[in-house]
Amino acid sequence: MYRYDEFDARFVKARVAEFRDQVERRLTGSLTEDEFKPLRLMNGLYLQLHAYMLRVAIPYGTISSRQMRMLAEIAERWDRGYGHFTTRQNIQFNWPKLRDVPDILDALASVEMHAIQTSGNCIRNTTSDPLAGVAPDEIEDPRVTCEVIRQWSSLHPEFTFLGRKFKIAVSAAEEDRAAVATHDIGLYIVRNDAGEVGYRVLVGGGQGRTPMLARELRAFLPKADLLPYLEAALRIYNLHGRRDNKFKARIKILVHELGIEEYRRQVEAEFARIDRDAIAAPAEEVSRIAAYFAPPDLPVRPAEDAAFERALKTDPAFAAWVAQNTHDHRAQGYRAVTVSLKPVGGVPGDATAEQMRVLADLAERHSASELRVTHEQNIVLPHVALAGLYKVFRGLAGAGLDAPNRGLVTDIIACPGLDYCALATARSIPVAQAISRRFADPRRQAEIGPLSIKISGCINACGHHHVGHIGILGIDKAGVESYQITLGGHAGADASLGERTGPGFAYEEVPGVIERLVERYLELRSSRRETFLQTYRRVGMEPFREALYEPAL
Amino acid sequence: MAKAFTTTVFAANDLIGGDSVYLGADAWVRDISMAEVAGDPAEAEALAARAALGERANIVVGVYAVDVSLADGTPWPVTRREQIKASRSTTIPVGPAARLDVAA
Ligand code: SF4
Repeated sequence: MYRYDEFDARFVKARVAEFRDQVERRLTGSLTEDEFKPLRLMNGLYLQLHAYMLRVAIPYGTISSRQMRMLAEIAERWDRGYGHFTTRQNIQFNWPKLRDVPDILDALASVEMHAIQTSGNCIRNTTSDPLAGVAPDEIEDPRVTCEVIRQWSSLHPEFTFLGRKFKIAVSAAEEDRAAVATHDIGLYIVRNDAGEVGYRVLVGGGQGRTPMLARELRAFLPKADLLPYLEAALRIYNLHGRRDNKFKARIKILVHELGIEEYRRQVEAEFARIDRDAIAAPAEEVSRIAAYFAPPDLPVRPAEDAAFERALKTDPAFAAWVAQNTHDHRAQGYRAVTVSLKPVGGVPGDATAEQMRVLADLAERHSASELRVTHEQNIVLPHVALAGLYKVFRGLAGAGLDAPNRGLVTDIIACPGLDYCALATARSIPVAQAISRRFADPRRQAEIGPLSIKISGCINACGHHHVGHIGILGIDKAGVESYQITLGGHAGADASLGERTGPGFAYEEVPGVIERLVERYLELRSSRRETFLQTYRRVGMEPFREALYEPAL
Repeated sequence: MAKAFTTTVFAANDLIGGDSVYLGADAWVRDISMAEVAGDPAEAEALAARAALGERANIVVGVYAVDVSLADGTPWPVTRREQIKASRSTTIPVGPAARLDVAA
């Protein structure tokens, strides 16, 4: 795993000391809230509906057992015994007190973690494939690129005060598990006809009020040109991007208004002009970083394991979980495990301190001390030997972490919504819980097959509803919650934005609405193999609309 | 047409804890039923001025007016958002409590 160098460590420590002083001055009144607010946001501290909220960075979602244990300790010592894993592969603590935050940041720094650049109009945590370095279908580990970007973008003087926040995602696999097309800049690591590895660069994706899928900016960018090219792309955005209107300030609006051709022309012109060698990451530095992401030293294993095969036969719950929640691993005799943070009726993405410790321990014993946070708000144990899989399952089951539902109807993404978020217009979590309870039966979930439901509590779309197969957006209608439904969104390589069904529904109606959509899908599908999304793409909106709005005869 | 006046109370977040507080008769209170209610624009203006003092004294942050209705003289917010904020917690069990709830 990547380890901070001396510079990083010193910088983070200095930053905590500086913030401690700022908090002190705020509490004694020598800083006003207007002066303090930008400072706390730069350190990941928000003020929400009921309390402060601290967002902690988990670069590209990779975290060690030791770090996970520290998160558990923070949850217990300074919060209410739990944390919330987010769609940006970070974690949020929901109840810290202002005066405790410097201590929390010190605790984080002791395990090379921090909350810098988790807020504000800067380049945020670069997200990636949770199966990075594991997936058999990947060209190389995308986290090397993520880390190069992290180092370049951290405190970059030119890009610290952009017009708006800026999000980058990197994927190197055939299957896009990083929702690349929904990002301001999306990078696919690809091979060109000559067999060289480089980037396919997308730009202008984003969710929020005006959802757009990213367009192709460059079909192939040589690897060495990554940073100069990003710098050119960011610079053109920084020059033209609107700062007068928050809703028009994202790069997607600029690309849309200039047109992709004109934006590309300007980026290429800037790219041709700048001193590439001065900006490019030195090759030695890239190989130094790459060395940290070398696959862990996993003992060589046989392709099959007799005890594992036996457990599959004798424990049907285990078999169901293996089928749904584990993935092929590059190394023979290993699997990657998705630990679902979506138990039936639970809060999507939440984990208690106790659960974090169980995860840390299991990772230490069975996954080279490594874990990943997924943008679907689950956790991955990337390197589990077949021989250890049953033990991992039993350990997870003991902590309520064994839901066999990855990618199924109850694997719901939900933002914090009106239960926590000061910007929210409606609740998300209880809606997710009600749907989850409605579809609790595992046989029914298996019968329905892959189906992603994503819920946002306001137009900001942190719950990614635009790219849910079924998207749910909670809005405020004269002080009352109302929920709009979209269908046909998708976040994979063939990404699409959902289309609205029609008028919204009341809070209580939502589970019934989802049920009607699912029932209609089951009637319409051409075979058991046709997924909800495929059926929707084949038959279109109309039959689903009928299911929702035609008066019952 | 000007918006008809609605009875209001003044809300903010406590500086140290971040939790929701309301302007009471002589202090910031956590229980909205103890909040001072403005029944007309003049009263609202007077309360707003007092609330601003709390901000200046660094006791609270983010003062704003909340529309309330009165039941037996006790204020309760009109909108869902403010009702949740006034309840001072999530509408569902969370954290370790939620785990027990899910397991049950
Ligand atoms: S989508 Fe809205 S309600 Fe949900 S977390 Fe984002 S800002 Fe808050």
